[in-house]
Amino acid sequence: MSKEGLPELHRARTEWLRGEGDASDVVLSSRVRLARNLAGVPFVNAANKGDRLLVLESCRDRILEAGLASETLWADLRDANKLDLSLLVERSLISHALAYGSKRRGTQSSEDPRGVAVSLPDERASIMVNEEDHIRLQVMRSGFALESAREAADQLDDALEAKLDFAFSPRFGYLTACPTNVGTGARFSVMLHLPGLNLTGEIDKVKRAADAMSLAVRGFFGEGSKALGDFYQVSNQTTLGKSETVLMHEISREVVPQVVAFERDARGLLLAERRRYLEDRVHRALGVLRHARLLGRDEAMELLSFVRLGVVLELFGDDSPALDAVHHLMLLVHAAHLQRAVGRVMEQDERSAARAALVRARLAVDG
Amino acid sequence: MTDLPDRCDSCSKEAVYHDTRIDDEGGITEIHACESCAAAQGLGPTQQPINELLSSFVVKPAEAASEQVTTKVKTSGRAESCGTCGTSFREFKRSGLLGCPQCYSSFEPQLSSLLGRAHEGATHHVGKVPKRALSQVTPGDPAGRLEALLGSAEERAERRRTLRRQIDAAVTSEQYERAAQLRDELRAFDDVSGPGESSERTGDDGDES
Repeated sequence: MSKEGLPELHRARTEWLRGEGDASDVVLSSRVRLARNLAGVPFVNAANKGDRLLVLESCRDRILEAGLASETLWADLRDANKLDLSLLVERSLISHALAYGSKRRGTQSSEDPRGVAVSLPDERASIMVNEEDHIRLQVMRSGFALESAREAADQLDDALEAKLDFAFSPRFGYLTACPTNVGTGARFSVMLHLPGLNLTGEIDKVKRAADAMSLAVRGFFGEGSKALGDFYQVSNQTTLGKSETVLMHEISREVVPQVVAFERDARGLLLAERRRYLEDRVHRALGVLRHARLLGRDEAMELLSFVRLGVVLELFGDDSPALDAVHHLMLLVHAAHLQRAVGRVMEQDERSAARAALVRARLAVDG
Repeated sequence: MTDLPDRCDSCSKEAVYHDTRIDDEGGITEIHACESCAAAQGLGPTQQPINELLSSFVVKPAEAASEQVTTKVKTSGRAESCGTCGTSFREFKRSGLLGCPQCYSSFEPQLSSLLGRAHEGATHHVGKVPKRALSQVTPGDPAGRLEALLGSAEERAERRRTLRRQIDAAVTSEQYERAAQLRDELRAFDDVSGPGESSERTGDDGDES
């Protein structure tokens, strides 16, 4: 039951890379995450294997009863192979801590009871079981659509709550293993593509704006990760003492519109005053991607970021790759996707060559 | 339950920054750094790590924590460990993770100050309450029932005060839309927990309802 759906997942587009929705020239995706725990059960880090197994089974059954969408994929990660785990991580459906365990949480065994439910075929919702909290529910939307993501997350939460008793205290709200998540247990985040601000050297403006609002700016893969290809996630750090609506609006009404305006200004400035330079950067990026024979993941992501900018600003003329192809490549250049696309397990050197070949084929002028 | 590799990778001082990174191959690297090495390597996320919050946590003179009957209590009145799951405050300081929902009551005096630092000074939840809790309460319910689901009269009053403070701040900074939203929230909360109660029972609340 667990893995039938996984092998073909790499062929599909995933919600957060659909490239649609509001402000999608700058906002890649919006995400809402809720942390929940079962009342009367130790948190994952303090639970023994028996407790974790019970949590896994009861959450799995209730989640499948509630249903995430018309079709729900349940993946039991205890017997998942490494490539499947990486595939789910690369699609942002699970965290790497859930995939590979965490020493801090005492969950580093590959046999540790844990799983994930994913809504198919859109992958808009996923629910991790036995991550840092018993339940980590997330809803994704392409483009700038926090409100719609929040509404969907809220409904899912209600559906689960009708079947599961969540740990809640009137004073502290929803109780989480780490006190930095307590209260609403909600994390609202928006993934922004900010190459313009990076080129004009103004990316610090964003960091300052975010800092002033107690918001976090993180890289492509979230906490602790570096910005890959000018993609940044902005999210709330505070979860206690402000309601979900207020937390969401701080990001959706105050910070994101401001950052989107900064980025568009920067792009406008580059077009008006440094057009040659900008054209050179994006054409070089496309040139390298179309001709390279060896390509690492980070380099590929950086170049794809420039190509995305060129596509959005219509700088490539008739020669332009489709935005959809660029977005799909942003998944396919990652190791697990690449190996699935090619159809075999490869060492790193071989992957660099395979990655370059795949990118060349997908971005070919007549293709 | 497991020994943490809580030494800094560079200088083997106690690590306060812990991170797991995934590389190109999907391989995992765990990173541990002390405060100064983390800062030197630009590792610290903009969020202050919980361990750092904990290490800078100042123990204030004992406040009342007398209701913790089931927990091991030091003479200062602070619980050393949770009576339900056995997690010690020391372990929590090391891992940044509590052991069970009950830990929040067991360590309430110690946690209050920490939570304030982590959440812009907030000490009380504002926001969603499980439907299960709300739907079981109707305005005429006996106080005991209300307390079990929405907290004591004092806790409910604190929540109202927090909301009112936020409304005032929003009005002062001319964020009227936000102020209106907060007012709606306060009204919704009053609908289930009974309005006016806060100003009657808590003398320190100068606001008019």
